[in-house]
Amino acid sequence: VNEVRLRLRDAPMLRVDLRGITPLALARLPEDGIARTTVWHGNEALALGELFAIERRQRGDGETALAFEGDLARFDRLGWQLDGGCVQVDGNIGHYVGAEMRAGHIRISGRAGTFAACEMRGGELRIDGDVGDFAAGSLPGSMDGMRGGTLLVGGNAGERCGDRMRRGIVLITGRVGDFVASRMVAGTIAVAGAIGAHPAFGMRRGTLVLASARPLLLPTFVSTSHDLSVIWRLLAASLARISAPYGPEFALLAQRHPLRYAGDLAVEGKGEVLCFD
Amino acid sequence: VGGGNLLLLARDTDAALAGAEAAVAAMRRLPDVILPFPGGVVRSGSKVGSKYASSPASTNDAFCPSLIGLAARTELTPDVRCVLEIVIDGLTDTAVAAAMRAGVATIIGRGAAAGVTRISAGNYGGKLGPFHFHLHEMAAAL
Repeated sequence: VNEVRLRLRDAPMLRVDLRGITPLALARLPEDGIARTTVWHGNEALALGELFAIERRQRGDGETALAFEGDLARFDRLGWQLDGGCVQVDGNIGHYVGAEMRAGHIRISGRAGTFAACEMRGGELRIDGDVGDFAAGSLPGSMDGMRGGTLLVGGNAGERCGDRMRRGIVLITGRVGDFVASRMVAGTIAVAGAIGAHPAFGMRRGTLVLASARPLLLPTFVSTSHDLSVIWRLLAASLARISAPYGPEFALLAQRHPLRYAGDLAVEGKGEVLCFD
Repeated sequence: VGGGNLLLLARDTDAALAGAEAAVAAMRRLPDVILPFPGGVVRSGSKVGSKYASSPASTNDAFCPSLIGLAARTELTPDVRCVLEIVIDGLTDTAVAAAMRAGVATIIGRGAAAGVTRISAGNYGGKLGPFHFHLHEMAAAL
């Protein structure tokens, strides 16, 4: 038996902190042990059994999994520091999903709140719906944002997507809000749809790929003219492969030649924005 | 005699590499010279000196297409999208000059349609030593 399935009974009154509820932690426990595990609901410790109907089953692929059913929009910090296994949510999820995760997979079929994948270090987080602000960003007060792994979003992203990011890949199939890739240190962000104001503000290094948007860049970005065909063939193939679950937006880019803008010269100027005519 | 060089300014990477490889093949047939870089080709134009004290040479920013707009001064036009360099060391200055002339002749023979649209060289403000090879004098015979 390697899958624990938690079906939400009723939406809680307050926000619930799911820190520590990981596939590997629950797989070690007997069913009544899972039901007695407590999580914080406001300032009261609540047993999982009061919030969820618990079921265990065997999974075909042999992976240790934790599945949720129901609207978990009030459940925060799912997959906090996750270090393996597979988490699935059939519905929405709250803030900080996948924050500081190091390995494993998280799949959300609905939308996610703010700070999704913030300070993520490894693994894969896939969100079919929209994500809120500061996706792949940093926790408040921290110097670094996402630093490894893959964030794949089927819908739109909010503002400050990839703030202070320094490694890893973020793919957004829909639109993003203002200040995408702001203060980015390194890594790759690719956006298929429209973008908000001030893209790549204060970008030091890293790559922002815009499949359809033609950005209004800051004056501290300059165009460069060198031959990108070799690196673009590699990058476009990799974007196409990673984005395959969400349609062909990135798959067709390999045949096109991007324009390249280098910046932000106000900081270090080693970043780049790739876009198309 | 070290540091004879040719800068090949080309339309794209493939054209630059094809031109450089053809020139290298012609130059290697001549006596008393070596092309010290792997395959004879330097992967960017180079210059003497660098902003780092430990590095004696670095990318020649005036001849780097990825630094157009970033460098204080550029020698390139927007149609130049790749620059490669060939460095020649030889026993005598005449051997180096002969190799450079052979390389220039090969590239001119391929024509601008093959993609290499300009040939230049770095003089480094004379910082590389007493030997100077003037491309226009050398190419006058071609």
